[in-house]
Amino acid sequence: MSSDFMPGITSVSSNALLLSSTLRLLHHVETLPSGSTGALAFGEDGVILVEKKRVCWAIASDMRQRLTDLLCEQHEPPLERGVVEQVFKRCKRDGTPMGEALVAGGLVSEADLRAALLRHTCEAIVRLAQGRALTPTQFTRHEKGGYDPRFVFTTAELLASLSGRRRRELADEARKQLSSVLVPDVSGFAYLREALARQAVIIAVAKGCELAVSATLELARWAMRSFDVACQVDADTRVVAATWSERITLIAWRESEIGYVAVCPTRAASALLLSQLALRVTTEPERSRSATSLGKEGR
Amino acid sequence: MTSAQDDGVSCALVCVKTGVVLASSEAGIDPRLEVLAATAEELLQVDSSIDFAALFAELEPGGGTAHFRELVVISATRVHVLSRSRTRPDATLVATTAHTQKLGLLLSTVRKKVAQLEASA
Repeated sequence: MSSDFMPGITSVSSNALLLSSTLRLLHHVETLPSGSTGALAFGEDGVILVEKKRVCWAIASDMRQRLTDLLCEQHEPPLERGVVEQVFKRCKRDGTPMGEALVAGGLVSEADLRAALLRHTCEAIVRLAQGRALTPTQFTRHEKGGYDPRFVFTTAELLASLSGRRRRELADEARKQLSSVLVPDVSGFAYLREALARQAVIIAVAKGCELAVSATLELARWAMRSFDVACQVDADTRVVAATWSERITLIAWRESEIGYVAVCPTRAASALLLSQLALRVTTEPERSRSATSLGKEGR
Repeated sequence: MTSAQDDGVSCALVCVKTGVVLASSEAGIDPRLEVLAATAEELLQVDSSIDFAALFAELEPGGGTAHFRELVVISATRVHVLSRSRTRPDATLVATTAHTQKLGLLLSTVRKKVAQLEASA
């Protein structure tokens, strides 16, 4: 599958300038007034459709691949373009969302559609970030929202997808870990600490995590620093839990080279998560040893 | 004071600024407590460049301070706890114990013991 990254760039996190531009773009989405639904336009270069700080769709004028291309290409066996285009024409005529029609008609699975939409949106954001279009020229409010929540993306999710491309296997592993470990109401994400990157590389975000991209980067920085200091106390540190207020506790842990951070909004949630993690630490010595052998955060 | 042998928990009251041990649950200070004392300020202080109050404004408006209230460090073999003193803003209670039982039970033992130490110091 082709990529919209410039030659030599394999991921947003591998290029400081591109990362900075991407963060700036996503920040525009996050700073829209609460509950805003509409189109964030970047002149003639592209547009990002937003609903309640989530990205529903993005397109850049110079994109090489359309959603149809991605859907046909990723399907096994490849979908017939004619069939997809027929659905597209019908949806355009009726004013109905194409993706949902493809899922309803059994042409693609929900997971495939979500993957294609995420990829398309990420490619568009990379195009915009690589170009001149960093400041929105206009925000047009839409009276009617109602995008299917299954097919919209948080800004942190987009950043994780853009940054985690280069380490796809680790990103998949991190997503599985987050969905198996996190308890209800807890937000969380996974990061890598790479020598070349100036900051943590966010590679996966828990489903429904509403943290802003700047928050994930700041919390990852806290986690890395805490592990560095905690390792002076105990070189084999696996979990650090910090109670910040009456209710909120931050929990950071690491397995192999992946670091995780969870924000627990209640005491019950933090107690439950911490107990689970402590149990894993004592019952999975083999996995723990491999984590230790990597030294500081796997660097 | 509680003996260190009866529950395996060693704890001490330490000065956050200097890392000096102000009081200990046992006569000979566990060297791990000295390291905890030395790193207490750094571990408990919220990085001033990170605005946690803004980050968590929606979850808990007005919550939190410039220091974490408690910090738990877990390894495969040990659990270490740092807890800001409720009565002395300049002091922190540090504790360390083997990681041999259920964490909830272990933490409640640690918290009970540091409360005793704080009361007697």
